[in-house]
Amino acid sequence: MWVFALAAMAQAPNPKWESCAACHEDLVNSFTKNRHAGVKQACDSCHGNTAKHAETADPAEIHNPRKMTAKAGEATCLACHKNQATHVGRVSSGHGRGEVACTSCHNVHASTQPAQPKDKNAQCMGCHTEARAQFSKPFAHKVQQGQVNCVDCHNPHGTFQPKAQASTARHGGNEPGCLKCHTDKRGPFRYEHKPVRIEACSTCHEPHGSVNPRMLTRSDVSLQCLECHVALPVNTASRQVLGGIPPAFHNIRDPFYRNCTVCHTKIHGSHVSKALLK
Amino acid sequence: MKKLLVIPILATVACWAQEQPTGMVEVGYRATPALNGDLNTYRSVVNLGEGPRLLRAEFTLPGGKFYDTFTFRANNWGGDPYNSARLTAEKFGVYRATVVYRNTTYFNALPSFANVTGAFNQRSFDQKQRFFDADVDFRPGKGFSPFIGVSRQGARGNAVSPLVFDENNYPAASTVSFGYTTARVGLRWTREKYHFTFEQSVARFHDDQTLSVDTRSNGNRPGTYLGQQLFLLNGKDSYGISGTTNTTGIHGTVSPASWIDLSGQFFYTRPSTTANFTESAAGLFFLLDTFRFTNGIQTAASSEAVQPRTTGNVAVELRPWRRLRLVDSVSTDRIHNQSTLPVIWNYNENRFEAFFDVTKWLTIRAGERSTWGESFTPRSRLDKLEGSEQGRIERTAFIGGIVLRPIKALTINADTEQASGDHAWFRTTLTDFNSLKLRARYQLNQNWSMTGHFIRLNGSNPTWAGNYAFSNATGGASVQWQQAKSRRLSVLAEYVRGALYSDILYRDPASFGSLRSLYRDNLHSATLLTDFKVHSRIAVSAGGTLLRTGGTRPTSYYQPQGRITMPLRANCEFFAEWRYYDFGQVIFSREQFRTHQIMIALRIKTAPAIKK
Repeated sequence: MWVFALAAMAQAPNPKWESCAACHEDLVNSFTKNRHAGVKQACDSCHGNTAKHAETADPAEIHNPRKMTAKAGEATCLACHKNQATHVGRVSSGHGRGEVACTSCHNVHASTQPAQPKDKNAQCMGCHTEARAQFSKPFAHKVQQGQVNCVDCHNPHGTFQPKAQASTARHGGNEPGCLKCHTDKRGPFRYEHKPVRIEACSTCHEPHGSVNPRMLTRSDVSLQCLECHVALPVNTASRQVLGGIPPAFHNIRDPFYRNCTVCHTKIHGSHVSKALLK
Repeated sequence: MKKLLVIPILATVACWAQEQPTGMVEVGYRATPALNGDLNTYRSVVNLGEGPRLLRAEFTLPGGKFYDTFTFRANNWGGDPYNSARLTAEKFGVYRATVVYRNTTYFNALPSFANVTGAFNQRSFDQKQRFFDADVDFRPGKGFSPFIGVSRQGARGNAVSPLVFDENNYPAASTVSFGYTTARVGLRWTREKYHFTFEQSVARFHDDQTLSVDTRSNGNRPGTYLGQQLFLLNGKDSYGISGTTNTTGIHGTVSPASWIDLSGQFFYTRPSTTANFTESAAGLFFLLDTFRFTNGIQTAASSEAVQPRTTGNVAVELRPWRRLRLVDSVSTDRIHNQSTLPVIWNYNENRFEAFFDVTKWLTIRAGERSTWGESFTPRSRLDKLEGSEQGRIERTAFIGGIVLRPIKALTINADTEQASGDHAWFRTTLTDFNSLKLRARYQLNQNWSMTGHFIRLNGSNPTWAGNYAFSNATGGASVQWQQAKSRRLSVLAEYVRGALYSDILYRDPASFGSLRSLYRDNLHSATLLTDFKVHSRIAVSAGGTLLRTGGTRPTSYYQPQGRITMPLRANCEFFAEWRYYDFGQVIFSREQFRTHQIMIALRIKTAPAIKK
């Protein structure tokens, strides 16, 4: 109840809006339902001194971040938002480096009503058109059905992790973002399958979608496994790589031995079997 | 049916709380009149069934004493495999609460993922997964902002998974039940020039699985083995796994002066699991370790695993001159466990990049990304060797790019990376590669916008066993047109072409002969989405996605759709939707399906809120 008791601390309406509302009624109506409504000097914070614009109605007398260069527009937003939790990895992010303007994704005047998941995803795919094609594949995360959002896995503001995976944002600490939902693959296991820990799931799976069942990167499980599990003089070659050698009784001409995960059932890691059999 | 009632009841309760809520409900009936082909594949890919559905419910309450915004949303309830509900409430500057609940039915029965014969369909799942996530931020946007949260993710259901006894395995009915519950608490400390977040979370995990066979089975080896027919009379495996994960996280940003920004993140997790495993079986088995036949197996085993992981990153952005930015970021990720089977993994990355604004419309950037690390992990039993196996990664890449805005409406982004290295973790990890990403966006006017992209990655990993060659290129364009004033017609057309190529040699374990694994995936994907207002209130939508791939697994997947919406009364609309799913495969033709889906539904809206 103390949460509600704090409600009395809500901001009073900003008198500055009244002069803006005379011409921009829709924007102001929407803005009053917005988190930005609590900002002192609400309109002036982003648009500069609006008094002269109010007198002359000249667009040149006002800053419009949407019409500025991305860098200048970003500077307007980051004047307040730079030191925020979501922006910690900003300098390393693709959006940050590519100077994607904040207003490309955010409608600053809109009310706080969160967008439908499908709408959010459509927004990302507006630029990332290749992602729409990947999610149109038959074996894919259910993004088009609205069950999964792009932002469930990616932090669009950036993290230092590859592909801006959002694993550090509240869920799972520093573990790969996939394990946020696939918790049964988290482990730790007494006997790990090394790629799961070292290169994460994308070693074997296409995270967006694949024409191969289980979103695998190969159409045949045996090739998926044998491409790494090949006879190698480990630790002696100049280009050493990880990957054990299947014993010689694995006659891959026999279908019995080509269906690797029927025997190696705990392929993501096992608690009791070193060969990941059970 | 109970689920179907919960949401309208919730909505009604919410409506009682205020006089003027706004919202809508979509209820309808879906029919799949003609499902041809493999039902298991249909359920694995689409899984939408027949029956009444609550397609969508959405309520927004106008600002009240205890909240400025209050929104409730629900999607696809009443039997659909993917459904969700989301509630958000906020009093600006006081609290912000979000509660999300999602259900997913995970059905997967696709024999072809394993081999071309399709004879071993023994990795199938039919599970219900539930996700619950509740977060409350207190005093959001203020100097000190504490937050708390609870998450629960779990699954229950059935599966088919083999009981494995060395030289044979037997399909077994399996029950699966796992859950992961996390509680977290933290504090955000924000000032104009710095921000820090401290977070601590505790998680509990359990995973219980049983596999059992009660009838005699010869398993997957139909012939004899060393002259004997291996068989199973009955057998049972039981897993009882539990664990905890404690996570400590600190991250922050500091801007001590106008020309410098610092940011950093530090995470420490300490996951641990305890597992108890029992197995009993009767039949005839061959044990490879002792190289003998046996009629019964009794096993009881337990294990523990602890795997502390430390991750950190520090980044600095310097702006010594108005046109120049220098960014350096150093990251490390480390696993060091203390068990008798040590897993040591260190991964480090340093990235330096300089950004230079040549003109207002051109920014160029260039730098270097160095990656290095090493791992010591137990050797796999596969190679019959004991001790540790060492892996390394060493790679240095030149990185560069441009942002070009020759005119206000056109933005072109280009990224390139040229990498070479001496070591990589696995044979399929690229040591040497070059990549190029090009994106362009052109907003011609209010009606027209166009985007295009071209992404290419070429790489290799030369090892003793042969070179790994990989290339992946995709290119595409989309055009969007909308009637600016009347908005009666809008069109989105998109085409993407992709070509993936992978070529690697591998060894036949039995003969040690060299074999080639060649994988190709040539993709054509076209999307068309059109909306047309026939009348001021009658709207028609049509379009869909067509996807065709060639190469190793030629596949087609067509999803055309159409919809007509028309008003019945002021607050009530009727709509009918048609969808068609056509999934075809050249090689695995038994796993094809095609079906029509017809949905008829009503959308009932509340009266718009009256402005006070």
